[in-house]
Formats: sequence, structure tokens, C-alpha cells
Amino acid sequence: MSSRRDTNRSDAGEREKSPGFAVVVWRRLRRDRFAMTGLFVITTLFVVSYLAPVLANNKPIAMRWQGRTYFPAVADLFPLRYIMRYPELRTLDYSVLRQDPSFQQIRTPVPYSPYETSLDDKLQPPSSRHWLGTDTLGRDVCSRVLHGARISLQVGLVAVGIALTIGLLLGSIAGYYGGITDILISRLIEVMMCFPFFFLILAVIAFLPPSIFNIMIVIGITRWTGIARYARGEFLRIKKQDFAHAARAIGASDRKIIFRHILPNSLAPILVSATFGIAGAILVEAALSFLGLGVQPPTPSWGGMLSDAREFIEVAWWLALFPGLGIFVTVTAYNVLGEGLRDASDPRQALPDTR
Amino acid sequence: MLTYTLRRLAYLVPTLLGITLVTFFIISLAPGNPVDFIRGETMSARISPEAYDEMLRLYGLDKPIPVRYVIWLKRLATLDFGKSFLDHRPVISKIKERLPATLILNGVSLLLTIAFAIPFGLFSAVRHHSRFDKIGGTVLYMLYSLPEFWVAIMLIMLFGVKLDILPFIGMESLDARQLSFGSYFLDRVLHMVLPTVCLTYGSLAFLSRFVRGSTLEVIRQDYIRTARAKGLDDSSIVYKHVFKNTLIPVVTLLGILLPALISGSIILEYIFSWPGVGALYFDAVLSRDYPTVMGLSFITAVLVLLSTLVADLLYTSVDPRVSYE
Amino acid sequence: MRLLRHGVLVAILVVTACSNDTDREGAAKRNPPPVEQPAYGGTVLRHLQSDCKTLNWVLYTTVYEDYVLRYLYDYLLDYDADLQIVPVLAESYDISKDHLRITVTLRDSVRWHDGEFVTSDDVKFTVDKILDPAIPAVNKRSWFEKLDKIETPDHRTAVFVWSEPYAPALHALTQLAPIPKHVYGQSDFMEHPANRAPVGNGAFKFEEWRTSQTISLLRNDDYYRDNAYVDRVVFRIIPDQAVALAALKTGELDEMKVRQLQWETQTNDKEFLKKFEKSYYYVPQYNYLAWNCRSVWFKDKRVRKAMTLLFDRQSLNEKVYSGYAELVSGPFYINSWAYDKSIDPLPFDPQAAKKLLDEAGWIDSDNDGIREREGVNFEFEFSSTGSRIALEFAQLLQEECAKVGIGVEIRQLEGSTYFDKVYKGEYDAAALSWRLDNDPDIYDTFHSSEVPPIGLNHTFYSNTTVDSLLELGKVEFDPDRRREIYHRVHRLIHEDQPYTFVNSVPEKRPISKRIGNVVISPDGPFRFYPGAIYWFIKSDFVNAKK
Repeated sequence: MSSRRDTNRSDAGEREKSPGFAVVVWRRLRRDRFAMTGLFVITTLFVVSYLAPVLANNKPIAMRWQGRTYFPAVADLFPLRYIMRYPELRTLDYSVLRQDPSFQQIRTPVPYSPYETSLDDKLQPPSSRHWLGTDTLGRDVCSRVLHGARISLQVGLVAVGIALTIGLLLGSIAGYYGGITDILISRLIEVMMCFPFFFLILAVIAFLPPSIFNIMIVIGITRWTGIARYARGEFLRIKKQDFAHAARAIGASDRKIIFRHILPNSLAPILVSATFGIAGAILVEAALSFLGLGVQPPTPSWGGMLSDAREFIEVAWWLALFPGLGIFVTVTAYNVLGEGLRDASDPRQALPDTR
Repeated sequence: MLTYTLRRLAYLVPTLLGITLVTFFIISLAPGNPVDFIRGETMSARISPEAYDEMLRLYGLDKPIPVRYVIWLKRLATLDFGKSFLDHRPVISKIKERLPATLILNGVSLLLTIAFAIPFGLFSAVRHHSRFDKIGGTVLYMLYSLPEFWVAIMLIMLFGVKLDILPFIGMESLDARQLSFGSYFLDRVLHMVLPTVCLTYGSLAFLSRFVRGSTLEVIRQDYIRTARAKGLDDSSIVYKHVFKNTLIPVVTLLGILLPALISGSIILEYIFSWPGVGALYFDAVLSRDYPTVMGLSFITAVLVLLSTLVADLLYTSVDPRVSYE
Repeated sequence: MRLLRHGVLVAILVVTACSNDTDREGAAKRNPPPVEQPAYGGTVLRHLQSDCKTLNWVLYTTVYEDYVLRYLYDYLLDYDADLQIVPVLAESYDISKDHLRITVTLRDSVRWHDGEFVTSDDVKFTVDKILDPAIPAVNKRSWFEKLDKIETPDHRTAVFVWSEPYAPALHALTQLAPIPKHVYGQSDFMEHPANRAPVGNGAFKFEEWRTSQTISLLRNDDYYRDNAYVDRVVFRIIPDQAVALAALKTGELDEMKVRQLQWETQTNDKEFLKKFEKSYYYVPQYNYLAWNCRSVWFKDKRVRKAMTLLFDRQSLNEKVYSGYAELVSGPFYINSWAYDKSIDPLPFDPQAAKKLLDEAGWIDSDNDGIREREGVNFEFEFSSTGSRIALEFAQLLQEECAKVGIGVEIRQLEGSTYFDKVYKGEYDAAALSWRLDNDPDIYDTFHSSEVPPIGLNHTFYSNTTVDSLLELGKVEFDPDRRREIYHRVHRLIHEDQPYTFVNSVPEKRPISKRIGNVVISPDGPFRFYPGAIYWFIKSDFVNAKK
């Protein structure tokens, strides 16, 4: 899948060194309608996915029980802390409580949890009860898509975070110190790049059982080479420049030079490549799900839902449509944003051509 | 040039060693072994302790992993990839019979990608920030955002079942070899349509955006400005100067794209019952067929390294600014 | 002329067997096919979900290889459509009084596909290979471990001499199909070219194997019984289940095993029912939840029983399988004589389960919603593969457990890792299934000496009475007494609940209506003699497209 690897260019050109670089990029970005739409979509997705527990839950948002007021669904936003305060809610059976007519509650817009199975309602098409229908176990698709957003966005973000950390670390060390360190790390990068990416993932998955966290690690540790190569190049280039020499002349430590001077200068292109990387990681998770190696059920992830749905495309279109739409919208948004960021952070680029 | 080539070739050796070492340890340390897998497949298999150990010995798994690696290396020196644990056939013949299927699928897809992506990228760059550039780019990214397995199933349902106009199983029809040469060729082509489309649409976005980027760089170079200033019209600039220079980074890129395509086709090979190496690798990993995993990793790595090498050599011979240093 | 006459005879026999079957078991919901003159010619298109690894009969391990090999090789003895043992390659067999010698007389003039005669030397050669420790024929070896030697007094006679009385001995001979000694001979067995181009003796001979695409077989016109009808059987390898169903619908396949949900949702339209006969049948298989009897939670049989009471198998059958499943209460094939139908499966009863858990000392004393005992929380890991069924089991259990204060964490493992864990007994609980044999000997899975890491008793189940009964069952030859033994085993294991016996799920297989002579035994359309050998393409279809 690394045909979808980040499309960062190896040579991003000279960049401005004034502290106002971020501001310039932002100003340029704001004029790019496509990129801003992408940014808006991503922000919305993050907000919605974070709020998933209060949007879709079988617990009420607020309720009165035994003379006290509880906010069980809200509590799911911060599960650990809340449970420690109200252990009595842990085994509460809400369906029993609701049979009491005097029970007062405010329910979430989608009153189903993503895990709640109801085999009597399996494979229901979208209706007023289940807005996006139900799956083969009678779970509410809407609820699963909302909670799946959480997982899928997380996978993208964390996996790329891991890739960035490894890539930047190794790349900068190689570029900065040079010599034998550089040779060793460069060989390692070369070795990693020669693995067809999916082969490597498969080999690693044989080793780490497919949990959410491991999926993130696997995707992360197989995607850092591009970033490392890029970082190495940047460091080689920048450290020869005047300001690095100057910093060293006044006695700044290696760490300080790296973090204060070199890193900020390479941030923009790295951000670009991270944006593309996230898009790629979400697709990789979907592909892994297809092979049965993705995020484990019952945890909903878009990739997993889509892969489960493929057998029922003829009879239950809603199973494939909605998670598919989720992936499609998110990945497109990230890519369009990445593209916009790249254009915006390219210093040689004049203001948009009027031609 | 010759020394450079030789040195690059010499570099291949440690890289290959590194690849095999990493693969060997990852796969060998992974829990489970082929004997357990065979037991798992035949759940009613009763197996005595002696028989279990005997089977381990039979597969050479009674020795520690480093020793096994050395043995593997020694065999490799004589180009012996060993025998598959699953069917006891030489790994090399298993790979040989499947590699052509993967190569033809990926080759055609690569050619198509280049054929569509380069003109598209060039045009986007020349019309930088035009509506064509923006919308075209967005459409490409939208295509890229569709998981390929999903697209594959949808296409099968539409063209294979509903309309019943395109085949979707394997490389040729059952009666293909009784056909005349012309219809046999057509049959093979028809079988390639759906898998190729699915394999191609994703890398289109990638390559065309890349071409666009590198073209933009070239356009800003001084000599192009000069050419423009001299009054040459855009199209002749593009075709005479820009295009040639754009090709250089694209060549390098293709070296990277190749391994991606090979692995990217695992899923499509599965869906389209395509008898390529992707499926072989997948099964080999899951069943812990170590010799096959190692053989495949080695051969793909060699292919990839060689293609990167060729790309680099082309690069250096095309671009005078790069030295063989 | 001769062939045709016999052909009709076969067809009639087949119809009888089929209608019998429907009356007796209710398993085959297929109407008897109209008696039709079998037509010659045509190709049967069968489905393989995954490619074969070898077509060496001694080395094969998977069901796909079994599908193919059954056309190529005949067994010495085999089960017929009524699950009775009948001689096939053998003309007759004779068992000595002390049960230690079985004398098999081979049919005269059976030839290998290359023209050589099938002799007792081939039989001996095959058994020698099965028993050769350097050959990984695990799944077949177990039947012959008690075999002392094979005598071959003449080329048609093979005498199986057993070192001790062994009740499944006759059954063992139904698990033996000779392979040609003159072909495999002295050269390397494991890599023999014939492993990919087998020389058999069955009604079809090998034509071609195109890796991961097709395996094709041609009719053997020198078969020692009536010749088959179709010219060719072609197996197409289509790994993806959704794609295979699409292939079935477009006529690229004549049959395939479909999944429950495909059966329910995608094979009921008029068009489909016009073209396909939907058959289902209970193969010797059952699903179960395994409780590791050495774990802190499940060493108490009251807890194991409580787990069973918590697992709503009846509604699982109705809802997940839409009624296409039978509850089981013990470790035997539901259609076999060993299964004691008088033992009812435990009901779904969470209240009783709670009581049992309380009795066993698992009580939620610190009010955190989770039961505990001696400071240990009742929170365990439930391992499963990625299979949808296994996961559905896990999730249903998780829900019910949560309601009574038991925490279940579902742990999905990749296949090889999963089996590794199970075989080593390194798990708390797991969803599994057994594919059974026609013989009820379950010594290897329930005897206390057969525990991990080597044995298959992966729950570490141990009950001395069951142990001695299982030992008896191996040496008891009287059918009635043997039945009694296994009925007692059934009852004891049911009481101990090392497994939660969940259900037996039928295989579901639509078969194209263009095929005639389809017989469905209780074990399905293939795993008996003559299986699918005499399928034919109905005359109106022979020349039609596909």
C-alpha cells in the first residue's frame, strides 16, 4: 500500500527562516478553499468522534436514580475517572430501569451502544429507529460508524505519530552526526524500504496479535523510512548553513541546535508528509481488516465494518455505504489538506497565479 | 560509471543480508510453528510427543534460530532456497510459477499509471492553480480514498454479475486454450481489465501529483523563464524542456513504486483469484512456512534493489549534474 | 451396453438411498431427483476455497485435497450413503475371532491409471509410508499405531495384524486408500513429481493442475466399476467467499459451500431457486467453548456449568443460524449410535448460574460489579480466531457474563498463534470446534493422559471414570456394549462440562439443478462411496453454454 505512501517531495526548497513562517503558511492556506474544506471536515470529524459516547450510547446523558443525578453517557467521555467515583453504575441494567415509568432520563440522539447486539433486529435497513440500519448481529450501524470514527482517526493519528517519532529521530541523528552513524542508519533505512511494505506488515503481525494498539505500532514502524530519509537530507543541508554554525560557535549543545534551530525549519514539510501519512494509515487499517488482521471485533473500525460488509453488498447496501463513506470523506479531506499545506509551505511559490 | 555500478552492486550484499536477517528473525520468533499449523488444520490429528519432536526435526526446527539462519545462508550461497514446509516442493519452483502472474498484472498497471499520470501531472503543473488543477487533483484524491477491496467487489458485482460482461476469476477462461490465438489473447485481456483497474486507480493520484510537483520545480528554473522570455509559447516549452527534465525524478520514483505495487496486489490477487506471489506470501506467513517466506522476501528484495539501482543509473546518466561519486 | 445397464442400476440405488435418507434423518432436505436417464459428457465445476498443497494421498491434510482425491483414489473399505462400512477396493474382508487379524481380499484386475495392477504390495507400501516417522502423515498415522504388521501372502491378499485388540480397526481400513508403489517406488517421497500429478485407481484420472487456478480430472474409461458420466471434473480455486457466490450465480461453478448469512440472505431469490437445489446436512462436527480446567476460575465444575447456563444456545441457534443448527449435549456426532439422545442439553438459566457461582464462592463482596474469590476477580480472557462465528460466540457470552458480574475480555488471535496457545493449554477459555470421525473413539481428546503440550485434551479435563471407560471403548468389539460405554462417557462429560457443548451446524451447499444423481448422505454429498463420482449433467444442459 505504500503506493499511497506520503507524497512529500525530497527537495522542498529553501524556506524562510523568519519566525513568521507558520503565519505565512496559514495565511496562504486560508485562501485555499479546498484545503480549508478539508480542514473543516477533519475538525468536525474529530469533534464528532470525540463526542461519540454522548451522541450514540445506550446509557442516558442524564438521569435520576435513587435520588441522585447521574450523567452516565457523559461519563464515558472520561471512563476511568468516573467509574472510580460511581462504582454503583457499573452493573446497572438500564433496560430494567427504564421499565419504571417514574424513571427520568435524557437519552442520547442515537440510543444504542456500538456493542449492543439484538439478533431479532439483524440486517434492518435504515429506518426512523435505526437511522443507518443494523448489521448482521443487529447492532446499530449509526452508533458503530460514530464510534468507529474514534478508532479509525486514532489509528491514523497514532500510527503516524509513531512513524514520525522514529523517522525524525533516526533521520536527524544520521543527518546531524554523519560518519559511521549515518552509514549504519542509511543502510537500515534502505533495508526497510526494500521490504515490500505489506510483506513487512504481515511478518510483524504474525508476531504481534492484532489489537488496536498493535495495529498502530505495526503501521507506524513500517512507514517511518520516508520521513527518516527526508529528515536526514534536511539535516545534512541545514547544518551546513550559517545559523547552525553560528549557534555552535556560541556554544549551543547538539540537542539545543537540533530542537531550537533545525527542527522548526523542517516542520512544514514534515507536517505535509504526516497529513498524507494519516490518510494512508487509515487505508492500511482498512486493508488489514480485509485480511482479517485489522482492529479486532467487536471494536468498531471503519475498515473492519467495510470488510465485514463486503459479502452483503447485494442485500444490505447500508452496511458498506456508511463506513465506506466515512473512510472516503476522511481520507479525501486529509489528502486535500495535505496538498494545500504543501502548496502553502512552498516558499518559492508566488501568490496564486492569476493566469 | 563502471566503478560506481560495481560499488552499488557491492552495497547490495549487506542490504540483502540485512533484509534476510530481519525477516528470518521476525518470522522465526513469531509464535506458532509449521507443525502446530498442520495440527491446527487437521484438528483430529493425534500426535505423540515423539512424533511431534520428529516432525520438528524433519523441518530442521530443532536447532536454535541463529544456526538455522546460517544454514539457510549457506544454502542460499548455492542458490538453493530450500523446500516449502507445506508441500515439500522447492521454493524456487513455487515462486517461478507464480511470479509471471504478479509481474504482468503489476507491469501493465505501472504502464497505465505512467501513461495517465504523466500527462495529467504535466498539465496540472502548467495550469497551476487553475480549476483543472484543483478539481482534477481533488477527484484523483477521492479515487485514492476508496479502499481497493471495496471497489473490486463493487466492480465485480456490476460488470461481472449484473451486466455479465467481464470475467472476474483468474487469468483465463476454462476453455481458453481451445480458442484461436486471437480470441485467446482477447480472453486474457478481458480477465485483466478489472484487476488492473483496481490496482491502477490508487497509484494514479500518487504519481500524477508527484509529476506535478517536479514539473513545478522545473518550470521555475531559470532556463525556462528565459525560454518564456524569448517568446516561446507554453506548449513548446513544456514538450521541449520541461517534460524531459520531469522524467528524471519520475524514473527514480518508479523504483520505489515497484515494491509497493507487488505488495499492494495481495488483496486484489485474493479477490480476483489471481495466481500471483501475493497469495503465496500471505499463506506462507500464516502457516509459518519459513523457507517460502524467506525465498519470497529475498527474491522481491533483489528485484526491488535492482530496479532502484537501474533507476539510479538512468538518473545519473540522464542528469549531468549528478556525479557518480 | 453393459455400462448403460449398470448406470441405470446405480441411479435407482441412489434414489432409494436419498429418499431413505430424507425420511430417516430429516437431514437432507433435498427432494429425490426425478429418475432420469443419465447422460454422458459435460464438465462438473466444483469450488475449492484454497489450493491443494499436494495430491499425494498419504500427505494430504485439508478438506480440499480430500474433495479432489476422492475422485482419484478408492478406499479399501468405505462408508456408503447410509454410513455402513462396505468393501470398495476390497472384494471382501474377514476378521479373526480374536480381532487381531483382518484379512482383506482385493478385487481382481483393478488397474492404476497407468495400466499396472493394484496389488497387496501397494497396500503394504502405503501403510509403511503412513507409519514412516520421516513422513508427516499425522492425521492418518493415528489409526495404524496399534498395527503390528501387514502380511501379503499373495498379490490380492493383505492381512492386517494388530498388536492388541483395537475396536476401531475396521474403521481404520475405511481411512486407507492405497497409492501405487511402482510410481512412488524408491525415490524421494515428499518431493515426488507424482505428488502434483497423481496416478490413482478411481473413476477419474488426473489431467492438469494449474497452481491457484484449476485442478482438472478426466473420466477413467478403464474404471473397474461402471464408468462415470461426465467427461471432466474441474475444481476452480476461488478464495473469496463473496466472489465464489458471484461465480456460482453466473454459472462459473456448479456447487459451493455457503456461509450461514449467504444461505439466508443471498440464495433465496426466484432466479437462484430456479437454478439451484439448496441442500444442507449435519456433518460430524460440533462447536464448543473450551474451559481451561486448570485455570483458577474453571477448575470448579459448578463454575463451568454456570458458564453453560449463561450461554443462550437456543436463541443463538434461532437467531444466528435461523434454526439451521442442533443443540448438542456431548462429544459425539449427533447422527451416530454413540450419541445418547436421552441427554438433554442444559437450558439457558442465568438465575441458576448465579446460584452456582455463589455456591462456588464467587461473590461480589466489594461491590465493584465483578465477582471475586480469595482476592481474585472473575475476569478472564476469551480467545478466538477471527472467524465470525467464533466472535459471535464470544460477544454473546461477554454480554451475558457482564450481567452476572463476570468480566470477559475477547482476545482475537491470528490462526497459527491461536492453535499454538490452545495446544499448549495457554488460554482461559476459547471457542473451538471438532470435526469428528465416524468412529466415536475420543480417547485423544478427553483422556487425562492426553493433556498439552502434546495431547489434544486441551482443557486438561480429568475424570478417572471417564478415563477407564475410554480405555474400555478402544477394546470393546460388541456393538451394544460399546454403545453403552460411550453413552456413559457422554453422560459423565455432560455432568463435568469441560466444554460448553454449543451446537452442531449443518453444511449448506447449493448444487446446480443441471446436475443429476446427487446423493446426500448424512455426512454430505462427498464423504462416502461413491460420493459424487456418478454425478451427470442432465441432457438438456450437456451442450448448453457452461
